[in-house]
Amino acid sequence: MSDAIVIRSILFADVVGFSKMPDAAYPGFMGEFLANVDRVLSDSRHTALARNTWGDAIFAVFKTASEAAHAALALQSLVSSQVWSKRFGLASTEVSLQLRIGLHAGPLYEGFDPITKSLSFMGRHANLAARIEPIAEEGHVYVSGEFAAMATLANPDEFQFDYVGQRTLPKKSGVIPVFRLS
Amino acid sequence: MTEAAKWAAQAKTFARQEGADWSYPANQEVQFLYFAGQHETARAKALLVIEFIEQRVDHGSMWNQTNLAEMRLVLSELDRAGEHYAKAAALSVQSPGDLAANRAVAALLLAEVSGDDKLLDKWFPKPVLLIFAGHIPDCAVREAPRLPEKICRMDGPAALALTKIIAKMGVVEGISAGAPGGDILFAEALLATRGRITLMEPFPLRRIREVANNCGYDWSTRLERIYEKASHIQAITCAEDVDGDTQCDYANYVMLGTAILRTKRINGQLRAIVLSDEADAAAPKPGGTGHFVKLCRDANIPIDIINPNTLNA
Repeated sequence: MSDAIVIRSILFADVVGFSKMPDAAYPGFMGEFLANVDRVLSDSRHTALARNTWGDAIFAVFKTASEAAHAALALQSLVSSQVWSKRFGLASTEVSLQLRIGLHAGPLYEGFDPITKSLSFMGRHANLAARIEPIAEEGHVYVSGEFAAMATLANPDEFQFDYVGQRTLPKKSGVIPVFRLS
Repeated sequence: MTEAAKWAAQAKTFARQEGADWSYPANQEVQFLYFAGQHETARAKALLVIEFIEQRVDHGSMWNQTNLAEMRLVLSELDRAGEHYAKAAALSVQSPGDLAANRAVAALLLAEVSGDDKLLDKWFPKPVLLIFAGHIPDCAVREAPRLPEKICRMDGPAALALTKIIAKMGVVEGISAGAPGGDILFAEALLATRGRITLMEPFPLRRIREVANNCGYDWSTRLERIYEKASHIQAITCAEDVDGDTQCDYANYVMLGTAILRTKRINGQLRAIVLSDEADAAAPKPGGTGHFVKLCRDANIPIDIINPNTLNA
């Protein structure tokens, strides 16, 4: 990890339904679902600077709040536009896939992750983004006030941020105002 | 709309049975009926609402004046609606949220009744939200004076300059940090003109209090006073060991974006003001006041600059 501090936007997503999928569905999940996620994160309009995934979690970092917001909405659109229950053997299990997404923006340390051998970003603000994701409603994107502010400053009319309320974050991470992105 | 009108009528009936003020659900019923296209029924009921409110002791309150204005709009009596709205707007000047809500309803009704949206600005001047950034007082070792203590004393020239501009603009709401120097002067000036102040602190409040204490004089007392009177205090997320410049840079973005969001919410007009001698620096340092000026200009936010070097102590 280097000493470079940069203001970046962080996305954490949780694939709801992942742990209930039958084993036979995982090849399809990796080969199809995650491949589609990769396409969203690689889109030239909102390319992730860093990304990672483990189990049901997706982590990505973007240069601007606008790019992160567009990517988050594209991921939700990806999930809602496909009938995943009919794919890779989910129909008989009544498992439906949904995404819960949290976004935050703030100063992060930029550096090389020796385990994934790729660029990564760490710091308190990344931890905060990880705490926002679990409180998001399934199928929605919740963001911090700081994220809403930075996205609005870049373009006041690009996104709608509806105030959800003051929400208690998990792991004693405090209470913050939360907004729903659309 | 028709279904909503039925629910509002039921709420009105319950209120009447309890001997309570039924004018609010009655207002809702009238508006829902009107938007459902049942204009004659809505007008007949609007007259009953007007009669009920005008007999009330509190008919001059902001909400009753708003209600009367809306009923007059339903009756297509624009002049009389305007008179009530003017009274309501004057009474809600210190509550921009209420003003914005009333303005939004008026806009809907006006579009339906006359389509003349110029009347809206005549009845409801857009609330002005002012965002501030500025220097902290010079420390003892600073060679070139930037904001000398004598300039930013209470009732000093900086305070007078800020008060004059705030009063001229008719500012109802302000956003700033709470650091000693320009921030506290701005908050004091705004509160003196009965405006509402939101403090967005770039660092935890404990750290801001330390800075105020280190600045000496009466800054700690003045900081506590504005903390008591602020409408809202928000500490921007901050790592305990973050370096000051990075956090100030981040805070500039967050504060400005928050001000734009708030302005949209109250359907207002955003302006900025700085107390700074570096407002026109060619390459302002991120996190500084000069950089804040650049961000405002990039976002097309009108900005007033008070250069402390031009103020006479």
